Amino acid sequence: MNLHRVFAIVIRHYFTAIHQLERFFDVLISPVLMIVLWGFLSKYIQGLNTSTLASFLLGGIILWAIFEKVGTDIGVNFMFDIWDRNFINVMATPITFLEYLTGLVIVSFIKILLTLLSMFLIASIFYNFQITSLGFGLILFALNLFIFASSFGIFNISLVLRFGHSIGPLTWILPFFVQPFAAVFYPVSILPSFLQKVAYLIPISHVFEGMRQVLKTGQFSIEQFWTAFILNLIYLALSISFFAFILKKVLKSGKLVKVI
Amino acid sequence: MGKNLVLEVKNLRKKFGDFLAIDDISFSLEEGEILGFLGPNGAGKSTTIYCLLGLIDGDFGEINIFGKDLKKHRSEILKQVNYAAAEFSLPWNLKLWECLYVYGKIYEVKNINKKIDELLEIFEISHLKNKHIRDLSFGQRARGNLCKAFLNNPKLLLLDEPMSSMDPDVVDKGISLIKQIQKEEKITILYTSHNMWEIEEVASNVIFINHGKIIAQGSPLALTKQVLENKADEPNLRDVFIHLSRIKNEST
Repeated sequence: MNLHRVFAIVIRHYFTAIHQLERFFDVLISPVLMIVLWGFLSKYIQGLNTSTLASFLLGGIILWAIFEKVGTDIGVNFMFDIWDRNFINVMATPITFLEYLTGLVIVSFIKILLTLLSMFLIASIFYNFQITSLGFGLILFALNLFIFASSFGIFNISLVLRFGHSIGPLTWILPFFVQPFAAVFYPVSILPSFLQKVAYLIPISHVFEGMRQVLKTGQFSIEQFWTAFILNLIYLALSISFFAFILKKVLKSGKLVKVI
Repeated sequence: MGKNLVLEVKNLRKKFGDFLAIDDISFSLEEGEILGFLGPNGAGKSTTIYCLLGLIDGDFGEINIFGKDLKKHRSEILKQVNYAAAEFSLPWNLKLWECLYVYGKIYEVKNINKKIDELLEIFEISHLKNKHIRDLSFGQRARGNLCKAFLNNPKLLLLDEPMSSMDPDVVDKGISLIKQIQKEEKITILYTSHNMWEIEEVASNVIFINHGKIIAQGSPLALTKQVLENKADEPNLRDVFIHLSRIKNEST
């Protein structure tokens, strides 16, 4: 692992970000709009029902943002090299695929920190929702969400390598396929029993269940954390293995240079 | 004194499905040599270059660069190699110096800023340093690509039609600058182009490839004499190219 080259990838995306307004929209504006929408919705529900429900919804959307933003960002940053026809130039350097992917993951990590900060502030100022009420658990929740999102991003990149840049838009659509089964806004128990089994295989379902437990009882479930963490390790290993498998295939088939 | 081989390709073969892209080719490059790699579209030139960069795995054969096996030492080897093709661009939304800075970091170039300034000056694009790549003309972008190609003081440079679609003035200037740096730094270059004048200007040796097979090789003048069966005293690779392409196409 060469940190100079990893840093090069980070700085490359810093330069991109400062020249593209849509990147700022992506990092700051879009999450703010999202939190405003859900904030009002939560407030409305709060008036009708209990404040716990409002906390569940706001907590859910903030934690969901970690997964969705990181999951899509890794793929989208990769797509920027494809769209710019720069990918082959990068791959023709001594950089390894592991270094390249690590750079992309770090870029997403920095961006999600900025996104979260803006969301925390808006939720706290306008809706009196203190995300810090999740306590130290917040960091552990975020860790699990970040790992799963990274696995997801690596999986997305593998798909683009295999099937070409035309399926690039999948990189920002795929996370929404997970949402209904990940217990983001409602508990797993709401789902039909066969879908509950699916939900429990998704690491972030345990994160959202854990979040609701903290907000309801103030108790952090260490069991939910470890379940999510172990599942995450399995998914991370699977996504890296899948990437390595696809890479080997595209190097053999010549598709790597066709992805441009 | 033995040959100081920079690149050695032995019996390289690559098949995509039923299509034989590279058919058992072997060649080598000595230090400071410029090899013109010629052939019609789809002949296997770019596929060979991708194999030399480890971006396509050959089915059979060996590639040794600086005496090391590319498969085993790819990252280490590529520190001293660079590549440019007009087909590929630097990141569209970055300024020229930012692009070069990123690549400088990847290649671990010392005193990056100084090196960037030197190259921008050599290629006469210092005034474009703060321009975005998207705002540059095709010729300016090509010169930016060439700056990137020389950033790490490569010992081996792979140029795949680096100046295609450019006007003769830009090509002429580009060629002069490549020759100047190559002479100073003794860089070994593998150069592909469809512009035969470019190859005549830079290459000391030429390989002609078609349907994945090497069908002729030698110095530009020797190849002209051999293929055109005349007593020419000037190289004429254009006619050689047409002659070899047609013969091969007719035979297939």
